[in-house]
Amino acid sequence: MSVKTEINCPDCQSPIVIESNLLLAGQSFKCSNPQCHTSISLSFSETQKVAQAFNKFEEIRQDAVEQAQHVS
Amino acid sequence: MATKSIANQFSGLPMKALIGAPLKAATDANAMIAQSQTQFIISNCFEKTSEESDDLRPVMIKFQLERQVLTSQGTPRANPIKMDFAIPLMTLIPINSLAIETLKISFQMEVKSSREFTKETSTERKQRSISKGMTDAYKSHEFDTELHGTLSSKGKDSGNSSAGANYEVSLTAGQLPLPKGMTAILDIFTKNLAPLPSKD
Repeated sequence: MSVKTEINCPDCQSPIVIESNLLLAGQSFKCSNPQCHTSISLSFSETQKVAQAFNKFEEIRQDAVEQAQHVS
Repeated sequence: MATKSIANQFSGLPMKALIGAPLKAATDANAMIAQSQTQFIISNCFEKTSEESDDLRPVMIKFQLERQVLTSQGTPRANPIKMDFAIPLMTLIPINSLAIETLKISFQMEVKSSREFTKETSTERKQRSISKGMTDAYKSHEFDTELHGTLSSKGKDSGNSSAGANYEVSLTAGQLPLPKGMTAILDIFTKNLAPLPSKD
């Protein structure tokens, strides 16, 4: 499951939308400001650390879904 | 009057349990989710400053930034500038998205009172009368006259009356925004992203 998140551009502070699967695959993401021309990508050395965090987050999300189903 | 008496039938209902129980279950589930989120943030997004200390610092993730720049002549440079910058891992995870967003309890009960009646009556009476020697003119023969008659009456009476009452309770529990402290931390983190030129 891919998680969408956004971070502010370090240059112009405009939002940059990031998709976890693509980020881990090494894809770069462009700043939403058309004047900015900045793109960011995850350093290769950090891929494992970030993947682990996203996987853990996905586990918690699944638990949350199960909890919600249990309630309804 | 009839509606009032029907409404009275709701008075004995355990509304508190009927509505409150699922709401409490949702709240408990939300609390559990919040707890596991907190644990996740502390164990995955923070690390100890040293083995001896209990102080925590955010786990930083390195990113590469590429940017097109113009030369002094005003033309785009052939190779874009590359810089490194680090952001806290915490800012990458959409933390506040984990919660039971909407809870709708629809409780519907219908009390209907209806009355229907049909009344049917039927009476039948048979009558037989015998008369002999009706008049003198017929004396040459003796007549026996018999009269048969049936008297019947039929009546039907029917009616229908009904009254109903409906109770519907809808509760919507929305997601609360992040606590101010958490928002402040994320805000500080995101506003202090400063790109540094790459070493190579």
